Amino acid sequence: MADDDDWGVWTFRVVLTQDAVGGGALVLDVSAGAGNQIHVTQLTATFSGTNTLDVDLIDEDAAIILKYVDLASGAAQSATIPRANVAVDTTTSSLLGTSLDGVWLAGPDVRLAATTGGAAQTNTLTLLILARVSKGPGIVVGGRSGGTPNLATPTVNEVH
Amino acid sequence: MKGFWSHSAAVTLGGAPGSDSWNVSAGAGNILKVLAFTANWTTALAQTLDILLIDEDGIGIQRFASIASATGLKTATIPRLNDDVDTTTSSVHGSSRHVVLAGPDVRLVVSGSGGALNDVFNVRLWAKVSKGPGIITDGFATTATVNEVY
Repeated sequence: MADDDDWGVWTFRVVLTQDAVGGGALVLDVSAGAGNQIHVTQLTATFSGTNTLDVDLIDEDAAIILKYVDLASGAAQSATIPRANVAVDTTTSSLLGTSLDGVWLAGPDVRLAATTGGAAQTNTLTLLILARVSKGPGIVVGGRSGGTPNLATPTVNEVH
Repeated sequence: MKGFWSHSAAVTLGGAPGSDSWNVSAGAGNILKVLAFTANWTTALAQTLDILLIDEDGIGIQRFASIASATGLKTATIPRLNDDVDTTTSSVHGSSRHVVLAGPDVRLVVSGSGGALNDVFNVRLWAKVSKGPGIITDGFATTATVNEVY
């Protein structure tokens, strides 16, 4: 079994900005990348606008394997990993699960996705990550966003 | 190999209403650690949806989710803390933070109380694997849309 005790530590921070006048949802996807494995131990996604904010584990077909955060529409919201998510118990019909043990990613296709509802022009989605990595940093893309997303150069992207 | 297995599938019930289940084991010489798992199905009839761990004799070792009988969409997941089960609770349920499968016989089971012909339930699984993918066993038509090892 993969074990992260001897892996490096990756820290990462980036901002995705909605440039389109008409707006559109903002999405940031984190994958391990080909030949790499990562264990996300802390993640925070902050949306500057007013709408929903979700964090999901998605498969190769972009179907949700498990949902970790499901925030109703609100202003300036933040979503995090890990969370206990005690609202989901033995009898609750729900796509949510706990992320108390972090989230493991491997390869280029299974992704951890932070997704907003519709974002207005100039709204931002900020992503901060601390993860254990087997070979190198993960890969963060904003390619599934709507409108015209502008992914800034990461202000932090280091492996120790 | 120290890898990860991603598996998503749609399972179509091919028989008359009755008890329906889908099983996954590690397979001979293999070990799985289930990190994330979802099972959902939509039924016109009121049905239950359970996730449980069973031993070599098919006896439940522990139960992880028990969604009450209802019509429509029912969804059960792993991991769950299941904090409704505490020190004074008599229950066969436990927390599903870590579900480990090894060998061909210990299985993680999704069980419905009885769907109608052509009902479809969906499973999505993400697991660590010691050697390779797990083994799926069920009596119905299964279409795997994802089945990858990294």
